[in-house]
Amino acid sequence: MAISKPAIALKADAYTVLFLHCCRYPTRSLNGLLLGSAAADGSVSVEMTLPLFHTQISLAPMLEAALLLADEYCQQNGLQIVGYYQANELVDDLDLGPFGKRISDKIRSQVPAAAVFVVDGASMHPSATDLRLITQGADGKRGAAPFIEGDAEGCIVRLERCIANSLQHEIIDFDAHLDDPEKNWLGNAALLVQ
Amino acid sequence: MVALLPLQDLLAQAKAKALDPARCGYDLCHAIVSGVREARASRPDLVARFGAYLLQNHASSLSHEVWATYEQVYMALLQHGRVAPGSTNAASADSEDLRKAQQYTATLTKQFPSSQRVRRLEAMLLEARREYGEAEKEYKAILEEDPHNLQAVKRQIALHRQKGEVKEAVKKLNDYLTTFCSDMEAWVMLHELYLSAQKYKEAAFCIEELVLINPMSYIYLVRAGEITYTKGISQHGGSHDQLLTARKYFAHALELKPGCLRALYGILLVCAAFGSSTKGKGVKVDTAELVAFAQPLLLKAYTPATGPAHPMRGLVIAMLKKLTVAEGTLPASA
Repeated sequence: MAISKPAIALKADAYTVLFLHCCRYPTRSLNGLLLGSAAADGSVSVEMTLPLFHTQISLAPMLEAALLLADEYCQQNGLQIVGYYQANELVDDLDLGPFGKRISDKIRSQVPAAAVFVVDGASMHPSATDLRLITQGADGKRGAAPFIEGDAEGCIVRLERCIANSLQHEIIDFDAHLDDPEKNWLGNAALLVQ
Repeated sequence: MVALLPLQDLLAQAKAKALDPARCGYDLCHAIVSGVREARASRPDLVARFGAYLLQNHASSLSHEVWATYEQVYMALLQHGRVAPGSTNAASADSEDLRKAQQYTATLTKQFPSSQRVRRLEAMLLEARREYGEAEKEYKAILEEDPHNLQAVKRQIALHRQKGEVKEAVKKLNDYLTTFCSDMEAWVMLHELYLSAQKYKEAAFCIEELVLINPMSYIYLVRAGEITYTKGISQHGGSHDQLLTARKYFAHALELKPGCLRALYGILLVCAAFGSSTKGKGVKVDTAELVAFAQPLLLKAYTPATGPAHPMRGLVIAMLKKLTVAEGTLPASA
């Protein structure tokens, strides 16, 4: 009996912020949270990306602070933490590592179908059918690739326009916010060109 | 004077001219390239774009700076390595940037025929093309001629890191640091390598060295606090004492850098962890006073003196409330 795999859908803004975060720090290991909603059938819809760290992803305290703030944000806005992404320092390293696994396990304890991605940096030219994201299942195996909700082609075109305008340098992750409190961690989607 | 403006303002000017170097002209391009250098900003994209234009069109105006600019732009090209959209296989053909870098090595070799520095730069182009074996050969040859060429030693370490050979990189760095124990850059890299392998104890040692070398820098104290805290809350061998030590590091960092967000969050998290810690062996740590001290400071960071309210302020207030409640709900006798 074939069971259809639960699907992961990304809003265009969420994907664009995720990808620009990777472009901002191409030489670093980085990570971030995905906020959205999870349906009863196990499908996940990601509405917003909260980029976390690029200086060091395997330390607990600032991660805890970020998770507390993210939890609070979710409660106020009717969202849930439904996923996690990580891009490693070396492009051919597609392993979450022990710390990344612990973060994703923690998210899975709330949302069992959580979307966990490792960014495949071998090529940073995504297309509508290849978002350069590798889904990590709870069993450690690769899951079904995510897709962009709505106009996927348009999203990729806009992403390229953002990069042409060097918008990746304006993305604020939690690290950047901690270094300068004036930088708003929650305002990344508003930076994107339409 | 354009040159005295901060990088951000220079970029705003350049953006008004569509980031086109030809329209920006010599002064602005030159200011941006030196601005990136002085701010130690990691913006190879800017250096590649504006620096290459300078070298192409205004090399003579750069006078004594010209060779340093060549080196700076060259390194930026290697880092940036832009691949034209549409080319699917980045490894098979050189990108535009690497081709340009290749031309620069020819110019540099002509100017400095027997320079080890230029040879190292050439080997770095090999690295950028992922010809690691060839690059390693070149570094070995440089070191045979001059065993004290530290830059070549560092490239060897970086090569191991690029290839994912963490153990070899750690060993080589340790060897290097037994001789050059005041090299901060090397300690920072060693601590990163240890952290990537979850070796918190070893990483903490590196950070303690950095604190000793530079006791007035809050940044290393914050990191020391972060590492000690991570050890302290660990299921395996985490202890109350480690959390207390972490609190000291964060507090010292806050003293050196008032309003430091990392230190403030760190202190508040340690206090919350004390509230929920079962490892206290009956020791009751009174955190109320410290929480009452740190919370207003954290909120101050989210309260701009003028202008509109900080968009994250409400969120932080709500979060702090919960953090304090969680701590307070624990029975006093626990």
